[in-house]
Amino acid sequence: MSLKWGYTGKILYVDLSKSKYWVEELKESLAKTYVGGSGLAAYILWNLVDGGVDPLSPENPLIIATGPATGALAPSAGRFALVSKSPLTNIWGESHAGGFFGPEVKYAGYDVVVVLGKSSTPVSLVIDDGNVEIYRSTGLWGLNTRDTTNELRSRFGKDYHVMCIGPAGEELVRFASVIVDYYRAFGRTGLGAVMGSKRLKAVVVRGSKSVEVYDPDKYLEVLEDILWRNSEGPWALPAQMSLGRYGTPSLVTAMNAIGRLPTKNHWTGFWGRADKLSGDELLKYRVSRGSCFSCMIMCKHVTKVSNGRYEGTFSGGPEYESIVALGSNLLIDNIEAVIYMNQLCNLYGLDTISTGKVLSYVFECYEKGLISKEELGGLEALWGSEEAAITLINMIVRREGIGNILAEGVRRASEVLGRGYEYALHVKGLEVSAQDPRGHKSVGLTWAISVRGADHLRSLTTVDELGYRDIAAERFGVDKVDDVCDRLSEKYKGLIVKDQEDLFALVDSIIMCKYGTMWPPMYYFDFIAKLLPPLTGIKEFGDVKNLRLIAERIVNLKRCFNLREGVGKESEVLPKRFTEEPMPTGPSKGQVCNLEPMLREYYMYRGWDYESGLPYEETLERLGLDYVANELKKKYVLPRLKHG
Amino acid sequence: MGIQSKYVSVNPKLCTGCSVCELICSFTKFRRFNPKESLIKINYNYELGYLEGFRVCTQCGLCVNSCPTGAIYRGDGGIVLIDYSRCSSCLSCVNVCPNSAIVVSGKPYKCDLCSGNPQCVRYCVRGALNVS
Repeated sequence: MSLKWGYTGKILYVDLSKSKYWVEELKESLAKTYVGGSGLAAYILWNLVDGGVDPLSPENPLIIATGPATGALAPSAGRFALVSKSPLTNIWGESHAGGFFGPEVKYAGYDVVVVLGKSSTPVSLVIDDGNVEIYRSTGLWGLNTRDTTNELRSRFGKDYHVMCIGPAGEELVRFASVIVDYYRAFGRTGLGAVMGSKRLKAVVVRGSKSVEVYDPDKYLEVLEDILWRNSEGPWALPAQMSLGRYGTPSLVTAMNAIGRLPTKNHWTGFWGRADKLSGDELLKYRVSRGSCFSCMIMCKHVTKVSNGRYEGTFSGGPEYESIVALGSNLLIDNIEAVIYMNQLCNLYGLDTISTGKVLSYVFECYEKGLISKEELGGLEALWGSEEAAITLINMIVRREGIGNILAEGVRRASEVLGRGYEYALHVKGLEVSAQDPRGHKSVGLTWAISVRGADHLRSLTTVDELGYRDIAAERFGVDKVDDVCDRLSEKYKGLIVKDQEDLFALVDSIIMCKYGTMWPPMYYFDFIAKLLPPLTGIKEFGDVKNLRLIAERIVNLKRCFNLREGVGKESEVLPKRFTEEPMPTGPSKGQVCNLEPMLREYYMYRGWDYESGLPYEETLERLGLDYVANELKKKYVLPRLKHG
Repeated sequence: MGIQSKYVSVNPKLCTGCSVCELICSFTKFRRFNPKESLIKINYNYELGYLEGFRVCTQCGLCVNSCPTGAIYRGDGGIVLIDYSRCSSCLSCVNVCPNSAIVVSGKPYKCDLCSGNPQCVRYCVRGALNVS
C-alpha cells in the first residue's frame, strides 16, 4: 500500500556522478518499521554502504530526511535530519537542524532526499516540486554561507529555502557544518565535509504541495491539546520565561549554579565571571526574537553588535553550546567576542562546539608547554585571548600552518602532534558538548553510549538534572524517585538514559524538537501515540509498546552500524578529566564520574552483553533486525542468552 | 460602502515568523497542511529578523461589487462571505482584490474570520495576531 497521509510516500534519489535523478516509492512497511527521519535514514544508510567506506568518497551517501510530523503543525516540528557516515568519527553521522527547509522538502513532495556520488565541478541541487536541477555553482565556490544563501535566493526566488556549506566544508574540515536558512545548523559530525567532498555547495528547495491528514477531526483534537500545552498547560509559562525570553542562553547561569558550566577546556564546571555571558547580558544585543517553522516555543534570536571592535556583527544565536565552547571554555568573558566568533563559524560553516574544543585543546597544550609559540606561527594561545581564538579559527578554515592539523578534529590532531591526548576531549572522535559528567552523572553515560560520540542530543536527561520528582515517579516508579532525581548519583542512570535514548530515537524520526521533549518534558511516548495515528492512518503507531519497540529497533540498528565499522564497547570511555580529576571548584566540587556501574545497568536494559559489548542475538531477533545480525556475524560471534 | 467589518491584523513587533497561523488556516479551511493555500500570509525576513509583509482579507468588500453572479455578500458583522451555490469560479474577485487575499484552490477562498472565532488568532501563542 502506498502512503497517503502524513508521508508523501516518495524518496528522491540524486546521483551527482551521473547527473541524474529518480523517485522511488517509500513503502508503508518501511514507514511502519522505522517511522521516518533518522530511523528511516539508518535503514537506508545501512543498506547503501558496506562497513569501511571512506566518508569522503563518492560511495558515502548523504541523506536528507523528514518525518511524518514534518509540516503538519506537530509541536516544534520544523526540524529535519542529515545523515551520513561521519568524516570526523568514521562512524554513524547524524545532525538535526531547524529553520524552514525541512518542511519545504515535504511540501515539494518528498519524505527523503538521498544524494549519491560526486560531481566533478561545484554544483547545487535545486528542487522545485517535481522539477529537479543540478545547477552549476562554480561561481559560488569559496563564498561564505550568507553570501551563498543570498546568491541562490536572488537567482531562484525568495520563496526558496537554502542549506549550504561555507569554505570549511569545501576545505574538508572534518567538523564542517551545513548552514540552513542563514542561521540554523547541522553542526555536528562534520557533514559539511561530506557535502564538500561531493562538490555539493548547496541544496535549494521550494514546494507547493500539501501534507494530507488521515482523520482531520481526530487530528484537530491533538492540535487543540498542543495549543493548550503551549498556552495554558503547566509548562507553558516556564517555557516562555526561559526558552522564549532568552533562548538556550538562559542555561549559562542555570548550569553555573549547579556546577556544570564547562570552563577552561572543561577543567571545572563553575566560573565566577559566567554572568558576563548570561542570557540577560545577551538580551542587550538582541535585534529580534524569531522562530523555526511550526513552533510555539520560539527560542530563536537575531543578535547585533553596534559598536566597538566587533561592530557590524549580525547573526542568529549564539546558542548556549556556542557560548560555552567559544566563551567560558576558553575563559573569554567578552560576550561581543563570542557573538563575533559564533558568526564567524556560521559564515565559514564550522561546528561551533567542535571548533571551541579544538581551540581549548590548543590553549591548554600551550599553557602546559606542549605546543610552542613557533608552532602556532608566533601566536600566544593564552586563556582568554580573543585574538588567538579568532586567528586560529581563520587558520583552521584555510588549513594554514597548524590549522591544517587542527582541521582534522581533536582526536586526529592530538595523534598527529603526538601530544596532549588528555586535553583532547572527545568520545569516539566527537568533541564533547557543553555538559560535565562530574556535575551531572548521567551525562557521562549519555556521552559514552551515544552513537555519534560525545553528544547531549541522543539521550540527555533533565529529570535528574532538575529533579522532577513527579515525572520520575510517573515514568520510573515511586520507589526510584530519590535516586533518579539525584544528579550526583550513578544509580538508575542506566534506566533513565535508556528510556530517554528511546524517546529521542522516536523524536528524531517523527521529527520533533528536543525542546518540548528534553526540556520542558512536555511530550512523552503517550503523546506520540496520540499524534501519529490520526495523521498517518497507521494504527500501529497508537500502541505505546509498539512505539517503544520501534525506538529500540532504531537505537540498535545505529549501534550495529558502528559495530560493522569495528567500533563498539572499547570506544565507550570518557576522557580522564571526567573520571579521574575531581571537579576542582564550584557546587560540584570533589565529584568524579564513575561510568562503569551506569554502563552495566544500561547494557542490561538494552539486552546487550557487557563483556563483548555486542547485542544478544535474541535482542536483534526480537527487534526484527535479523538482516543486521546476519551481517554482523561475518565479523563477530554474537552472544546468545540461551545456550542451545 | 458604509459597513466595515473587523479583520485580522498583526503586531509586527511580536511576530516571530513561525508560520503557525498559516498552518492552522490551511488545516481549518482545507483539512490539510499547505502554507501556500493559507488565507493569511506572513512574509518574514528571517535573515534580518523582522516581518516584511502580511496579507489577509481586510473585509473591504471590493469583491462584493465585482462578483457577476452576486455570490459574494456581506454577512453578519459585515464579514464578506462567498455563497458557493452561486459562485461560477470566474475569479473576478481575485483580480479586484487589492490585498491579493483571495486564494484559488479550485474555487476562490477568502478569510471569513472562521465564523467569528479566527483560528489563526487563537493559535498565535505570542499574541501577535488579533481582530480589530
